[in-house]
Amino acid sequence: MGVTQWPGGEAITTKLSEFVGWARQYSQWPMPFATACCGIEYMSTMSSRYDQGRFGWERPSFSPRQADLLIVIGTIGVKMAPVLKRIYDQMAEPKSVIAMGACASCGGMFDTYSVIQGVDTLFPVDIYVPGCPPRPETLLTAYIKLQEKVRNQSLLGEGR
Amino acid sequence: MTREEKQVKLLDDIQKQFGDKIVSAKMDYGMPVVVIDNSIHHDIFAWLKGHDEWKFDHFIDITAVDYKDSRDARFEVVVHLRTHTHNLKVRIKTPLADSSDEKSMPELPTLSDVFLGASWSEREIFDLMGIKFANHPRMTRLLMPDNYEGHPLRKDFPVKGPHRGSFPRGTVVSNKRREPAVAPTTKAKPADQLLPNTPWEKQRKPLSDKPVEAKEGGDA
Amino acid sequence: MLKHVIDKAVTETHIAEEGKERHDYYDLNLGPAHPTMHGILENRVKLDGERIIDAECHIGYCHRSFEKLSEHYSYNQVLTITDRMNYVSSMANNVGWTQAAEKLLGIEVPKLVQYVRVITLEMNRIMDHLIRVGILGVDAGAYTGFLYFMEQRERAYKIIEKMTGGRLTTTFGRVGGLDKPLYPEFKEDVLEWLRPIPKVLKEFHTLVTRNRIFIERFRDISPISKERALSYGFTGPNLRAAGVDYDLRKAEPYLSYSDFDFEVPLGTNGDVYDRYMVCMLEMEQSIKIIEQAINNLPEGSWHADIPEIFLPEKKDVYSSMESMIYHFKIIMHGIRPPVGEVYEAVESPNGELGFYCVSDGGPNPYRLHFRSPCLYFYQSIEELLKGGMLADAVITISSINVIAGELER
Repeated sequence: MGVTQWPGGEAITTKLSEFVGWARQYSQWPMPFATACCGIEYMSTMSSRYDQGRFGWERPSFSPRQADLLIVIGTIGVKMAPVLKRIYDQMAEPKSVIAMGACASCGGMFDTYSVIQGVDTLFPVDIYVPGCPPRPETLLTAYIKLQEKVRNQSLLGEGR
Repeated sequence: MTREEKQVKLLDDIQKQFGDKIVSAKMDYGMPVVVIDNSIHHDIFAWLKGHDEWKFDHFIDITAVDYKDSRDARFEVVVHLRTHTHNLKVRIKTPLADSSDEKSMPELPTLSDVFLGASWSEREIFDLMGIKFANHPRMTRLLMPDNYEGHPLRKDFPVKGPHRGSFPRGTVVSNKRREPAVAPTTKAKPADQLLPNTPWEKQRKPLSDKPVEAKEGGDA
Repeated sequence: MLKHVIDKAVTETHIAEEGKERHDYYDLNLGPAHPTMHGILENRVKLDGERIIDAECHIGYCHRSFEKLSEHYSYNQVLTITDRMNYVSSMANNVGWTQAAEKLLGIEVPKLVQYVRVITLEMNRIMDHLIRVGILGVDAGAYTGFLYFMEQRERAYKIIEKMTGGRLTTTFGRVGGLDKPLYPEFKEDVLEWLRPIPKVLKEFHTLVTRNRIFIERFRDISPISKERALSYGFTGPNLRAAGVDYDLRKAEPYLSYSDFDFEVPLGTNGDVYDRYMVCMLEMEQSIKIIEQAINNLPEGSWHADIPEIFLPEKKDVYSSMESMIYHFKIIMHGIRPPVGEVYEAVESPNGELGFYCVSDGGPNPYRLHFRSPCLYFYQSIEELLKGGMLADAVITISSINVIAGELER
């Protein structure tokens, strides 16, 4: 990327994918899907001390149709799994998923008849956040990692 | 009267009213405990609630215990009540034998016409223990999905579930050791089998993790 | 032209056919994934315009099978489960479980342990009510108050982290005492934390309590009478808002609550405004209790003198023979209470949290049942929602304070 002379002024040249990636990484619209204890730590991350708004995640959307990031927060039970799959299906491409907490990543301490052993058995997950519950700083690290991933996403589609 | 004297008087009153239907009535860790016969399961609670002196109108708890193979009567339904006028609690236990055949479940009369708070707790006992309550307004499962088979809190039900990988049709369940029932996992699979075909989705490959390269500075 | 089309459409939907109802009732499904629901609760409501005619509630979306798991855990490991029940105030549940286990084993803990448990229970009561009132404000539109309260919660997390090591799920305490001795600056830290809270409560009062908007939104919404509340099994602030004077700290004093001087606020008709005011006043009473306890903190040991049950410290295990034998016996053999059953309850911030524990002489509880207060509140929602507007449904469910972890265990 460089600044070049153009007739009548100056122009900044860059690649379109880099520009779009730079814009997308700082303006994600997350959908927090909070079920259990990790939801309280998400509320702490949303509040004024560990502000998630300074990363660009100012607008949590509660409708999957308007979101491009699904944060699965907390334990997913056998009764809840079809509902969560439907919510994931309703989101438009390109979308990402963060599995926050031990219960969403792998079932956590609940290896029982009523808990799904990890949300990645329903749909692909991009970032796993360990912790029971994870500290807000851990979740912010996950945000930064996701920003790097989104920045390098190609415009032509996945894997191209 | 002191608290202990009131508790003793309560046990005496219950014994006098119901006579030989009371199996035992004594104090246990500071709480009066009464073990009764099945047949007065509804009547004793209606009597306690409507009694002029002991108005047991505060419903605390109802639960069930599975004493598999260690007692003759397999189940025991335990009810805790409280009287607000005298500030006393009482525990009333009803032993209940298992039903003789596989298809039916042991039954008791419902308490939801006496205490409003018993309705969901009895649904939970039906769901997790498999004890039916007759004349209940809505005897359906509370915590597990409606088409679930089995009663999890019984002692012969394993913690991890009896049939991981072969749940009833329509239940979504996860499984890391065998084939999953409904949705495939994200382990390496051919691209056309990654996700089920839904109207909102096209084929999606996993996001690529390209390493972040050092960029040149953006200034001229 | 457009007006003609709209009029025609409106009249066509309201044409009364013979034998059919005049209006079309609308079935709406609030949940399970809904922005205003607390946790995941499903309410199917039948609407006539904005008014709710009928409601049907479904739960079970967060059932984590605590009761089944606890049959495979030892008496100290159950603390990891009780942490996650009412996860907004997890140390209160832990105090309750240690009380129940100690009653079963017949242990009496020293005064210092009792005072520290009282202090943590009251701190957790304040923290729970901060979130409860804050979220009630958010649902009615007052987002600023919530942010002020969350900052106070963050300051409390610092103390809790120094005490136990965790912010939210703490595994506080053991059967027979505390998990580690108190750190030296505990007293100053707690007093420092308490200092700005009355001012923050006063700010929230000026925002909400006499504000015309909130009085209209909260007054006379979903009242409940004393008899119905008792019959449903209400306990805690919801019952006290209905006017019934039942507080376990006064009715059956445990953990040396009889040493402290405090009042129990009561409401009159059990509506949302009464529940809100009862919670605000209870926070002020909790501040009073903490100040009394902290200023009279007794000297003493941080655990009871029961080497067969309480794990000895590691430095003793490596240096003294008896400690090593006790350590080995406790870990391999387990804590085995006598055969019997016990029901013990504490006044958690939501109500009466009871533990019914049946022991068969083995190292794990044979059956452990959690009497969670939320299950009894949420049963009454079907009745409380009928007749109100859809917006009031949100306020009602928020004021009842249902925590999904406790509701479905």
